[in-house]
Amino acid sequence: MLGSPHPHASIVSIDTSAALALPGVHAVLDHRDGPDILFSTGRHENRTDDPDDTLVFDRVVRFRGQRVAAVVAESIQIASRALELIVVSYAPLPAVFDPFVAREPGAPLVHGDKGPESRIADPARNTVAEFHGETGDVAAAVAAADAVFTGTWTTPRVSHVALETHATRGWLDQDGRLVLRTSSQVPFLVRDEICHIFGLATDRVRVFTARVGGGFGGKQELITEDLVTLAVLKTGRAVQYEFTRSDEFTIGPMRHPMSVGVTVAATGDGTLTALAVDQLMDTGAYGNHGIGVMFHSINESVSVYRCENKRVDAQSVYTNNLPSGAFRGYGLGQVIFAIESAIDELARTLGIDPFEMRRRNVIVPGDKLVVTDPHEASDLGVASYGLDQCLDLVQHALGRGNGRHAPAGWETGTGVAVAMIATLPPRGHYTEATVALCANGDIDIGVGTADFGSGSTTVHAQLVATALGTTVNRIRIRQSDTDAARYDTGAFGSAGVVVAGLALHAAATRLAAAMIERAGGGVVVEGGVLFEGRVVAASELLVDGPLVMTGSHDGTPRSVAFNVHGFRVAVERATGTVEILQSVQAADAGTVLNPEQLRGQLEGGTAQAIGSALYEEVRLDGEGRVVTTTLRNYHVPQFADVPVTEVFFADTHDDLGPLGAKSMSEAPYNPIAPALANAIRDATGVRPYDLPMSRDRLWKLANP
Amino acid sequence: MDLDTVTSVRAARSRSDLVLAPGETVLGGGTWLFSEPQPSVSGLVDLTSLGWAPITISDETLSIAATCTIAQLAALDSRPDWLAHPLIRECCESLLGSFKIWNVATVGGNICLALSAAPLSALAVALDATAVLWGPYDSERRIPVADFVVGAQQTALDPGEVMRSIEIPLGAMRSHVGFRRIALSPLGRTGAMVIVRHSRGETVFTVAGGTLRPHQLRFTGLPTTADLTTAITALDDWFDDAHGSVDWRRAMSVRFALQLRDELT
Amino acid sequence: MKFTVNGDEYEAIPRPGQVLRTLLRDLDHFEVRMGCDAGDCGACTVLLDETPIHSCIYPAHRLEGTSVTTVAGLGTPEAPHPLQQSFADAGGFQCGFCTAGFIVTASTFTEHDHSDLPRLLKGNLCRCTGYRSIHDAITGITNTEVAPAGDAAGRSVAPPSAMRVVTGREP
Repeated sequence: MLGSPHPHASIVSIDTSAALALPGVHAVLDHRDGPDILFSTGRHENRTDDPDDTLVFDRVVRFRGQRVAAVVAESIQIASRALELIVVSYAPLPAVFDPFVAREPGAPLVHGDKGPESRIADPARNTVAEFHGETGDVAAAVAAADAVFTGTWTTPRVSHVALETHATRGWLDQDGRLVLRTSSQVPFLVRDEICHIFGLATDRVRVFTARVGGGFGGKQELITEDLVTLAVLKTGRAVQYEFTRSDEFTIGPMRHPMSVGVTVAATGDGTLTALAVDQLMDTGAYGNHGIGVMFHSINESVSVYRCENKRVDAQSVYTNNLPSGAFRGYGLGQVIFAIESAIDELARTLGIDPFEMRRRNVIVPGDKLVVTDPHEASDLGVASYGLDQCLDLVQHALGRGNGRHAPAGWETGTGVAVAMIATLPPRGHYTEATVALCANGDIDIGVGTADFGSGSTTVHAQLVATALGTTVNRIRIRQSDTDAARYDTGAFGSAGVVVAGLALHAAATRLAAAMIERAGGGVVVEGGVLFEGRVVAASELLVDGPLVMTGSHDGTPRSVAFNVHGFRVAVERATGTVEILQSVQAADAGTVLNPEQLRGQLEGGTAQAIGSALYEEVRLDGEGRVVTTTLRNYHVPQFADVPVTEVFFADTHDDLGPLGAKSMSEAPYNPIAPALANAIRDATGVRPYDLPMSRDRLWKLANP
Repeated sequence: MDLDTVTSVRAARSRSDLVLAPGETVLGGGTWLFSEPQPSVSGLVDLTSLGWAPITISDETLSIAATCTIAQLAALDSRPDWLAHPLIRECCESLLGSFKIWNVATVGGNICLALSAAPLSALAVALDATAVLWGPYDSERRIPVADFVVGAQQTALDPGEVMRSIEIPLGAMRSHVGFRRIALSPLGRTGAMVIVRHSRGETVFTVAGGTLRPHQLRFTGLPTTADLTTAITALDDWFDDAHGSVDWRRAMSVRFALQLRDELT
Repeated sequence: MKFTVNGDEYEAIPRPGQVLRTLLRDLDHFEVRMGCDAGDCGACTVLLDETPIHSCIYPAHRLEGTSVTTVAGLGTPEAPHPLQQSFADAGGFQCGFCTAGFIVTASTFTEHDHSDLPRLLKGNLCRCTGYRSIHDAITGITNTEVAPAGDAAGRSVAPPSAMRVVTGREP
């Protein structure tokens, strides 16, 4: 793929003739070949959740590295040589790299050519989405408060660094159907959007994933599939496109960098009387997830607190930097970093213990979840509540300690943060799954959810095995394939356990009932039905025809899940080194369907978040060039960097989830950065406001 | 990663094979060469087939072939009077790569690549090693490694020259030494490194990692705090990147040097 | 150039500048993964004559007369290497992409090495687990259980694909 050398330019001319003439080259594709259908690389159940601002090949390029042309050849070596033979002439356009500048009048416009049908909130202000709301009177509450704290916190670009890069392989099967094997979290949504872009009927396209090597939100996108589709349709051949690791750092989606201003105010007894958030996020050159992340970031982060006076201002802004996208936590982590830090400082000012400060101000069962509109209709509610248990568990564990001592002369401190997350994304998350009895007693399940490490596949098998009285190794799973199940919105929003889990459990329960009916009574057991002292085998039950049941779920109503994380740290002020002495997380995930897997999600989320908190920053040079393009220059936590986290589960049951379970895969990430910042503040008296809290930055803060 | 621009690979078996054609470059372990695209390289000359003995010890000199792997160097046994021996291990551990990289990467590769974080350049400079350079027509040149590494990824290699070995005077191996290193993470890429070596009334500090190239600071006896601090802060090539800011690297280097000096007293 | 992979003999001529990783995948050894292609992440680790190396930066032209072992050569789902079994028993993976590299690397460890894992594993990255379950896998701690019929929910059941993942047989 040939990428743009300019951060903003229009393509005046492209001459691909020399490249095409190279032996072994099958096609050279550019904007003259691509369909003119605008779309977003961001994938959601409703395609209107993202702006239509992207083309497979655009005549205007808006970030360095954006697709200009692609060579399809017999080998990567030939394709690379052919790239050098493509001649492109550009007319550079003014570019903007700072979201604070981009939102001001007079800034270069990234999508000035887009109209209202694009669903960009205001192209003339580079604003893909914004929100302003207030309940009560924040200014008055601040004026009347006994304690006020204001600050601005920033988070950088972070790369998901799923070990498997984005990649797609496409071909035409013997029926002439387009088949795409891709590393994606959302095969059905990819299928639907490919059909939309290329004008194909959905039954003429099959999209499937095999085992996906990590996603973390970065694969809730259509990043490589469109190019491969175009190449397959043009050449009729099987075509593969694989991102290199450098591609991931230069043209892959990034966590939205944010600047978050927070003001909190309280009365002397610690009652929170004002909470104001002012958030600005850089969505980069394209608006994929730029709307959803903005709205989500200010939702549960704010509604977890009961406070009569709340104000939220949020703005998601285009720049000519590389596009941001979905990242574990979907915007919550950045705003929670700011709010939990501010609340901590406020508690400190009032001399109130940070756990107590949370207990006095977080929502309790029966409370409505309010951002800035107390009357807003919502399908999100507190169907189960374990936040109190989580606070108790972490406080107790930190208080007990773990016997680890700080090195001599180092300062020690503790810090805590809470996080709430909706168990599903809003506006629907659908699945339709099937459960069928096989003649040998195995159970065949067809479910659309891709498993990229969340463990949802295991849980699906457990739920079905439990409902059908059988063992997990009798469950045959066909998954993440548009041919294997009717539909699944996809593996994002932590939905895998709840949505597909409910559908599968329902279908399995119906199958059990049907099996029993055919047997004439009894209970389901491995291989069939136990009735009147004998096992009626599956093959016998199937004599009257197949037994296939369908289950579905539409992802509503939704509940909330909670996480609390606590750290004890030691800090060496003279070098800026932080050593984590104790790490504790308590999670309210409802019924725990697989304790070891759930522990793994908490530990993995904590590790990834430690990376974001202490080490990781995708650096740009101020002109849209990524400087950190390799793993040796972007420090992902190693074995030596991650402490063992004590993990606790609250004891709750959520009626909205399968057997009472709640989702818990994004959420463990969210409270880590503020808990760590609060611990560092406790130890040194100095508060970090910017991530990553690297040694050189902490040293500078502590030694001004 | 595959080096797609490479069209020829040959194994060097004698010195005459080291005459490089245009576009050719020598290949040691390859752990850096194959980690990045090399658009200007069209041919590889593999040095590992020359069969150079990795380590040779004479009466005066510890000689390390350029093709000696880092694993072979780290495995070198100590001798009773080699007070400086622990320095070898500490510098090898400072390599960003794990023991798996040690198995393949070479001493010569690390020094000739001359990345600022290169721990074996720092080791060689700290031990007053001499670089033995082979040129065309059987010519040989010897210069101190301290003068060989001149900048970030810049060495004094002339066109047509290949590093044959480094030679460490055994006197250096018999000196008192000290070592400090810090990165932004526990086992991460070096941000700043200081080595001290003291013998016969002379103290030599080697400052590396935070400067573009390693620097030797020589003092008669032990330097005062003011002199040592001034010498380090006056170095003109502190740099910043993803592995540390200039301020921090400089301050850590001063801190380490003072700690190491104090350990010698 | 003659060499063996998991005991099978091959004769192949690598492209100039080709690395071992792509040569192995040309020979259909898809269990050898690409995480970075630069020697930084360890996902591509294989044994070369019993020595673990990063196949993505190892020149293929040096293979003459050598024997390569990938994770698939260490054991099978029916007869796994003890370390493969312990990765399954410990729940030592989530997405599984880094697993082959960890298993091959750790297959060279002695029990003495168990106290030195942070240093020995600095060339293997995992983004999913936080490394605790990998530590358990290498040190032989079991964290999973086999569930009785009808009683799987609520138990620490291993992923159904576990034996395929740890032996490099999961596509």
